Amino acid sequence: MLKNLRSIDKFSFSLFIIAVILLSIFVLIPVFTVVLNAFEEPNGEIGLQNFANLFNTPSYRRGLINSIITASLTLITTSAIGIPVAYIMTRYVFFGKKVFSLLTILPLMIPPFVGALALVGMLGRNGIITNFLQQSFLWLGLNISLEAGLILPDIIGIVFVQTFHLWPLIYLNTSASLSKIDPTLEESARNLGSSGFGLFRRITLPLAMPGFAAGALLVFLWSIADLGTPIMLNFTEYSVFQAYNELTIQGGYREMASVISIVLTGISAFVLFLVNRYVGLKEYATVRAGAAPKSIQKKIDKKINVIVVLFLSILVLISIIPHIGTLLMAFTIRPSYGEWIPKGFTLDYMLTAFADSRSSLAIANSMVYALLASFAGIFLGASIAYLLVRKKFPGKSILDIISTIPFAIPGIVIGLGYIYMFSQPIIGNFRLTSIWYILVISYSMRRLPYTVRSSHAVLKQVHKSLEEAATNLGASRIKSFTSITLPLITPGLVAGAVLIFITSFTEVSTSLLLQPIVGPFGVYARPLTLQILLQAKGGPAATRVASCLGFIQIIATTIGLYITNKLLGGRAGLAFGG
Amino acid sequence: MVYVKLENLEKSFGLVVAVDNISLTIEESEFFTILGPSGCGKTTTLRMIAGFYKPDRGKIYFNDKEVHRLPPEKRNTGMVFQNYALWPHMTVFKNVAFGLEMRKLSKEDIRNRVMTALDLVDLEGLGDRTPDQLSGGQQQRVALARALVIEPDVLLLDEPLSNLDAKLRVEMRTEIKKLQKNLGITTIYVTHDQKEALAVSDRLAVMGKGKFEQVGKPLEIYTKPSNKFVASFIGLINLFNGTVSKIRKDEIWIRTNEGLDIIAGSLEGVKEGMEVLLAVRPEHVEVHPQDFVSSEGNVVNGIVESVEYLGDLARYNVKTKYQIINADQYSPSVEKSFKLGEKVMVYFGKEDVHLVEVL
Repeated sequence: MLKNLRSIDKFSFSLFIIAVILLSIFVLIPVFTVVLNAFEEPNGEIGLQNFANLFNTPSYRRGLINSIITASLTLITTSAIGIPVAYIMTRYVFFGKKVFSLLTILPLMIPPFVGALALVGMLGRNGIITNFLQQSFLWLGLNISLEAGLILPDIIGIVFVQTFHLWPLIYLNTSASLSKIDPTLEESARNLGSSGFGLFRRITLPLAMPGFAAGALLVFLWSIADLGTPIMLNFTEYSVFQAYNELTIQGGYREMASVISIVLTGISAFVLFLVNRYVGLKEYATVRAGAAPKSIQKKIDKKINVIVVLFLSILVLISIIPHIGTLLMAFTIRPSYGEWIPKGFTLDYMLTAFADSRSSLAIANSMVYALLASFAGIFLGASIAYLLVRKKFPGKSILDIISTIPFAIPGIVIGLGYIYMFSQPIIGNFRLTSIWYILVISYSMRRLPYTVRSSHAVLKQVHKSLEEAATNLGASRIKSFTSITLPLITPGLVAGAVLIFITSFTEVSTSLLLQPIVGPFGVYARPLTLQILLQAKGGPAATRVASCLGFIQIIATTIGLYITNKLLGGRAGLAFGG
Repeated sequence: MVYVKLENLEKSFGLVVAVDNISLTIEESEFFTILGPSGCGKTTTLRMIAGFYKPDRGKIYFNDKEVHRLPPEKRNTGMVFQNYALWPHMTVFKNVAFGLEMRKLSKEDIRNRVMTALDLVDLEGLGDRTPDQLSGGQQQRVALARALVIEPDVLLLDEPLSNLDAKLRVEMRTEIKKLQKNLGITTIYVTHDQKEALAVSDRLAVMGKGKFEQVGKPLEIYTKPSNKFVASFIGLINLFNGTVSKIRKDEIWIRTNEGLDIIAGSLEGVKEGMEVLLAVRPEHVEVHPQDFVSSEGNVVNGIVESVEYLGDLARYNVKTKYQIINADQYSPSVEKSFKLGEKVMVYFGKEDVHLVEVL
């Protein structure tokens, strides 16, 4: 095998070796360590005792069941919203369509963690909308108490909050598939006598299935690994949260954290397997001769137009509750308990945030982490994609598989693995977990599958003959790469890097779990997400400061999305999700 | 001027032998075509000449110089790709100028030569456009200009016309041929379209399953196909499998496997009892009314099974007792043509019966 490996050029060979080493140290071995830890019994032997404990302890068992039910329910609610919106947006021409196609992107602009914070502030106990409704009920003479808030720390609350930011994943992926369907495929079905719902069921839906399945998979994996929402809602009977607690509480049951993580990983892997087996995520390649016909877009009559606009308007109105909530909490003076009308505009919370060195340093820290993670991530991701697209060598499928692993494993597994592996001193007193590099590494590794996939797509677009034409005309390999390939792939790669930046800037799981001591600007290493959490749990006034910090994440995300949209031509949402 | 010599070239992909020990010399300034069905190894051969594949065995010479070890950028060939491979991020001018920039010409020179090249392919004034603003035919011309501007030793064309519509294809092939003759560049053209190959080539090679089945001038290959593969690949043909039954002074009798007796003029090297494959082109077969008689040649009665009007000719499928015979009738008219189901006589002269191969 090694001899065959050398049949590829030295440069590619070294890339391959570096990629395999990095992936082994920062993905494979950490995950393996967690697995080992899960089987380690109190007496130091290997066994299934920890797993037995999980299934025999009611709270852990309920946590697991809750997680599975939540993920399934969220998948249903997001599909119920996402599929109709996708169909409407790709197939119909109607009044207000342009506006809505912009507005449907709004949920992507708000990081889920910040969204959850805002929703609790709006709809939770003493929330702005809660108080408004409570007062309206009182005025109407209705005896309904909303004391506990509209979203409670339970399954429904989690599903509600998750649905807010996950439905666009279904929408974007499904509509990508829908809009790619060659109209002649539907026309030929019509020609053979199919129409209406039958046509949708027999032709359109199966063709759009790969897109929907990709979106559904993202939603399920995201939901089951979600740490931010249960923390914000303080819903403790949720597996990921339980694992997090066992790990962060003094004297916690660490092995249980491993067991829970492994079980969640198992569920994710199983779902991934099912989807791959029974639906398939590959787009159907359409063989097309001649020019691509324009996709079919039907005009709809006025009555239906009104219904469509009404439906989309309600959707958008509900979707922007987190945005409005963040703005209200960050920039208006807090009303007294039970009131909802703000006491006026203020910049005090924002000024407090910047005056507090812990908060302002957290912003600076996260900037540095995300920036470095995007450089490292795009470099590694593009190198792997290059090998996968352009080279033939044994071990290629292995590289493909291990670079996809982070896709299916919850962030908490990576965090746990790093803690187990790197909290031992490497040289002298140097522990990798004490220094901020660990966050940069975890960010770039967690995002890697997406980066590889997007770079893969970018490289695929550059047909091999474009490079060959250059060498044929006398350009060396290096010259043909720099003058032909590089300019063609740069926009796509930059877009990929920007996406790593915004997902790293707002990352939750490992940001809360890994808590290095030494930061880039001294002894303070907290990332922004962790600072938001600590502020959010610090009482009503601190929550307002947390919203200000969340607002900064929103701004960064929005700018990032804008740039990727420019570079990719409106397809940025697709690369999103994780 | 350059001649190209291939010597025992071989190339396999895994277990599939793509090119199987071929040798060939292409003369200076010759327009040489490699013709064959898809998967026959023609593109592989071309890509070995360009340097994109390394041959497993064998040698390639440009004049006396061995080139098969040189990387593509050192061979000075100009290649036109099937998908044109125009760089989408460069203008037409930049695309054409690229090869000259690699050759480190002065800006002034590059400008002049690009302009001349664009003129040559009738694209003057379109230098500032990007490839996606051009029609298919125009893109093709840019690809051609880009290959020609470097004054290559050999021009390589990989199915350059396959993405164009039928009318444009005919126009472009005439134009390419004219350009090639004026510039005198040794040209290797790969195509699966036999009409194209016959129309443009000085010589061509018919390729099947990695081997050259026949190499020769278009007329030679059309009229004297040397085996069944070539005979049936080039144009429509009537094939007869049979055994030589008797040889007279200027007549040879063959009984086909179906029992039809065919009289041929002279068939070289044929002896009684030999099994042979004979061919008659449809344009040499005449269709006559039922009462037709002839004292010499071959007459068979049959029924018109289908008629295709192709404008300048009508193509008949005549079902005989033995086998279906195709016949082309030139300048068909309402009075002279035959109807579906009509009983007719087909006739072909003994000189028009050709020996394809002895089996």
